[in-house]
Amino acid sequence: MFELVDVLSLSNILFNLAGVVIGIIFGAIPGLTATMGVALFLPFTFGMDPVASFALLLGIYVGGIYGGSITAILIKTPGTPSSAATVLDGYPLAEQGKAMESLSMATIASFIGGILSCVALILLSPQLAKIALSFGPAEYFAVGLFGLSIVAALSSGNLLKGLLSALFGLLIATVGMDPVTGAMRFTFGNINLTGGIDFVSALIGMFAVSEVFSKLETINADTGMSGLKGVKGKIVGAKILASNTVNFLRSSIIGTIIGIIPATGSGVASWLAYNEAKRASKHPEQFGKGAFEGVAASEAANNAVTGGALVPLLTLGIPGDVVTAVMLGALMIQGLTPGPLLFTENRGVVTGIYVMLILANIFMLLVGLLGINAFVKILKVPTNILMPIVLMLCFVGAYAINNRISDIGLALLMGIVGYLFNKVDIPVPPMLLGIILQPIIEANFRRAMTISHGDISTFVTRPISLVFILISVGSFFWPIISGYIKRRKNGSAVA
Amino acid sequence: MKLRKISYLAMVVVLVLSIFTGCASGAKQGDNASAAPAAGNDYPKQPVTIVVPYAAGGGADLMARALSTTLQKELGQPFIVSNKPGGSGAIGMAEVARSKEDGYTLILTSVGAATITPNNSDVGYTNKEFAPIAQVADIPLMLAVKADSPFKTVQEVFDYAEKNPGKLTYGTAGAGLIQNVSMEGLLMEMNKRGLFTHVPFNGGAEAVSALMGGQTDFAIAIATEIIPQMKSGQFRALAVSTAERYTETPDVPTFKESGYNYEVGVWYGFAAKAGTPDAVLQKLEGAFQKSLQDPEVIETFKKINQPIAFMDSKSFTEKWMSSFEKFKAVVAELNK
Amino acid sequence: MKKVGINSVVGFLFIALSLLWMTQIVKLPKAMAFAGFGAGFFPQLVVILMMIVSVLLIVTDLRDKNKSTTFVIAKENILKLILIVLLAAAYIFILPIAGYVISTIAAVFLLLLLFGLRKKVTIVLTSVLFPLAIYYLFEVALKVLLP
Repeated sequence: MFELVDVLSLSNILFNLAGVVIGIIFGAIPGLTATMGVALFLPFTFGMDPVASFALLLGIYVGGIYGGSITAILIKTPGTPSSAATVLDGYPLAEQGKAMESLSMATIASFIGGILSCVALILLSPQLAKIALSFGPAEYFAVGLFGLSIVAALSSGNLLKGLLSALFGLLIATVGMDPVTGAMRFTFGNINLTGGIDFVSALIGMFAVSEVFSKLETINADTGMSGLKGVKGKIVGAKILASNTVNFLRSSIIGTIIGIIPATGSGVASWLAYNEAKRASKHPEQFGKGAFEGVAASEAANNAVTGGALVPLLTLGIPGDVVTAVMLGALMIQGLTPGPLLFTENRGVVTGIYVMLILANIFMLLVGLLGINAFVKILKVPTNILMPIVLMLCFVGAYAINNRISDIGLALLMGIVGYLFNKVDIPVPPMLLGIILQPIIEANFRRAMTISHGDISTFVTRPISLVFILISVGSFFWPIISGYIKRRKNGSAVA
Repeated sequence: MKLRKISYLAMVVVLVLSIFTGCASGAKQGDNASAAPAAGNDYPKQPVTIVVPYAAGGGADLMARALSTTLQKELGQPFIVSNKPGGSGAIGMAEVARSKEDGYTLILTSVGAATITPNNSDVGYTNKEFAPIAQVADIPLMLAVKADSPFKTVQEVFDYAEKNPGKLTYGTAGAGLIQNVSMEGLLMEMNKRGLFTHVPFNGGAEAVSALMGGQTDFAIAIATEIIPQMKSGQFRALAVSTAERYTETPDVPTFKESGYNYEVGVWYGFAAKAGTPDAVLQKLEGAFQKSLQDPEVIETFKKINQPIAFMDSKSFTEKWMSSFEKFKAVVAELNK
Repeated sequence: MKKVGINSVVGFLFIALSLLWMTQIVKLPKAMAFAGFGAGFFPQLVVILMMIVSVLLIVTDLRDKNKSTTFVIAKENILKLILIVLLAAAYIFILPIAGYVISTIAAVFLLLLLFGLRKKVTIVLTSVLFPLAIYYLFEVALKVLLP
C-alpha cells in the first residue's frame, strides 16, 4: 500500500498525463510515431527517478499508438502505421456523418485493448514470456504467411488485382540491404535507397498523399467542401459497444500476443484483428464501408500491443516491438536490469510501471473522449484549406522519420502510385501488408532454413509453425471458396 | 476560363520557383565567402552539426547528445545532433562524405559503418573521405551460450565444431556487421571457414532472444547485450574479445587466454570530412578529450553502458584505416 | 473490334516492372547464399508470381466482354494533377536550399490557389501561419529538427 502512495505522487501523475498528450500529438501527425516520441523524450528522463521516467515514456507510448486513429478517421490519413486498418472503416463512417461515434469507438476500443493487455501483463507475465521464447524463425515465417493470407479478404472484388498489389508491396520492400547477406539490392545506384523503402513514408504516400490528389479532382470550387456530411454530436451508443464485446476480447488477445512476440508489432496486430473480426462478423460485407466492428478490432488490437510488448521486456529483457526497444535503453539508463531479477530486486519499479501503464490508458480514454469535440472541428475546415495543409503535414512527417528529404520524394511517388491504383481499382491495403510482412517472411524463411541446415520440413515439424501455416492456407482460400459458393447460389457467372 | 486560370497558376509557380532558386544560390555563395577565412583559429563561428547515422534513442544517439552539451561549453557554439539512420549507418556516412571540409559537419561513426559496410557494397564512400578526430567509446564482443548449454569454455565449442563442422549455429545482430565479419575473419585466419553456421538477425535484441529460446547454439554480441542476461542467470559468457579481461566481467576469460586471436571491439568515434583544416581538427580533438573527463558525461556514458575509451586522432586514424584494410580482405573472401 | 481493357494495361505494366527487377536480380552476388537461398531467391519468387498473376489478369481481361476501356480523369483535372505533382517536386528540390519556413509558405500559398481558394486574406494567413506553427511545434516543442 505504501508503494502505491509513492508511485501515485502528483509529479508522476502529471508526467503521465503530459506523456499521453505528447503521445497523442505524435500519433496524430502523419510520420511522427510513438517510437519517435519515446526516443526523442528519452534524454529528458535521464535525471528522473525510474517511475517518473516510465510515467512519461509509457504515456507517450500509449497516447502515440492511440493518436494515429484520430487522423485515420477524420482525414483518411493514418497518423501511425498501427492505425492503417482503422482507415478502412473509420473514414467511411466519418463520411456518413458518424465521425464522433467512430472516434469514440476508437477511443473506447483502444482503452479496452490497453487495459486488457495490462491485466495480462500483470497476472500472466512469466507464463506469457514463454510464448515469446518459443518463437523462432520458422514460427515468424509462419505468422508472416498468416498475415499475408489476409490479402484475399482485403481484395474486394478482384483477387488477381489484390494479389498484384500485395506482390508489388513485397517487391518494393526488398529494396535496400538484404538482411541475410548484407548485399545491397535494387538500389539502382541511389544512396538513399540503401536504407530501403521507408515504411512510414510509403504509408503516408499511399493513403494520405493519394487522398489529396483525389480530393483535388472531386473538390467543389464554390463551396470548398467535398462530400463529408455534417457531424452529429453524439458518441457511440451502448448497444453498439455491447454487440462488440466478443470482438473487443478477441482483438485484445490478438494484440497482446502479437505484442509479446518480439519482432512483430502493432501494424501487424491491427490487420490480423481486422481480418478476424471480418470473418467472425455477421455482416462481413459492411467491412470497408463503415463497420464499427472494423474500427473496434483495429484499435483494440493495436493498443493491446502495449501491454503485450512489455511482457518480454520486463521478464526477459527482450523488447517486444520497436518502442519497447527504446524503453530497454530507458531501463538501463536507470541502472535497472530487466529480467527475472527485476521482479525480485526492484519490485517497486515494476509496480510503478504497471500502475503508470494503467493510468496512461485511463488518461488516454479521458483525453480522447473530452477531445472528440475539438478533434471533429477539423472537419469544419473547408477541404480546399485542409488538403494543402494535410499535404504539407505529410511531407514534414515523411522528412522527420529519418531526417531525409528523399523520403518526401518517396511519399510523393507512393502518392502517385496509390492514386493510380485507386483509378484502376487495385486495392491499396494489400500493398501495405506486403511492405509490412516482407521482412518477416523473407528473412525468417532464410534464417529457418539456415538453422535447419536446409531442411524445409522444419516448417511443418514445429507445431506452432505448422498450425499457423495450416490456418494461413485455410484463411487464404476461405474467402475465395465462400465467394464462389455464393456466386453459384446466385447463379451469376461473372468472374 | 478554367484553363486560363490554370495556366496563370502555372506561371506563378514558375516565377516563384525561379525567384527562390535565385535567392538560394545567392545565399549559398555568401556562405562560402564567409567560411573561407575560417581556416582554424576562430572555429567554430556557427553551430556545428553532429550527424548520427543511427536512430534516435540508441546508444550512439545518446552518446552524441551527452557530448553535445559539453562540446558547446568547451567551444562556445551549439552542437546539434541530427539522426540520419539507414543502411547500417551508410546513409549518414555518405552524407558527411559529401559535406564541406569546414568542420561544421561531424559524424559519430562506428566500426561497422566505417570499416565494413563500404567494403561490402558501393555506398558512395570509402575510408578516404574522412578525417578521424577521436574515438570515444569501445565495447567488447562476447561469445555467450544459454545457461543450460553443455559448453563451459570456448575451447569446448571449437572442439565440438571441429568434429561436427557447420552443425553449430551462431546468431548475431546482422549480416555484414562486426559481430559476423570479425568471427568469419577469425575462422578464415584459422583456415576453418564453415566451422560454424551464421544466423543473422535483425539487431542484437533478436539475436539474444533467439539464443534464449534455444534457436541458436551461441551468440556473438556486444557485452552490453550479454551482461544483463548473465546477471539474471540465463546466459553464460564463455569469452570476451578484449586484450585484457574486461573490467565489468572479471570472471570471463578473454579469447586470447584460450588461444584464439580474436581481439575486436565495437568502437565509436568522431570524424570530419577529409581535408578539414588541421587547426580545426586539433581543436575538436582537444574538446573531445576534455568532454570525456566531464563528470556528467562520465555519468551518462556509465548509465547507457558505453565504456569511455578516448583515443587521439593519430591512433584512431591508424585503427580505422588498418581495420578497413583487414575487413576489406575478409569481406572479399566472404563474397567470393 | 477488340479493344484492350484497362486491366490488360495494368497487367503489362506489372510485367514490365517484373522485368526491370529481373535485370537487377541477375546482378546480385551469388556468394554467401545460406543453405542455397541467396539474396536473389525471394525477389525472384515474387517476380515470377507477379508475372503469372499479370498474365492471368490479361487473359481474363481479354475474355471479358464488359471490360472497361476508359481511364477517366477529366481534362482540367489532369492539368491540376500535373501541377500539384510538379509543385510537390519543386518543393522537395527547394527545401534544402531555402529552408523549411520559406519553402513551405510558398508551397502552401500555391497549393491553396490550386485548390481554388479565392479569399485573399485566408490564403495569406494560412500560408504564413501554418508553416510557422509547424516549425515551432516541431523544432521547439517536439525537438524534431527541420531542414
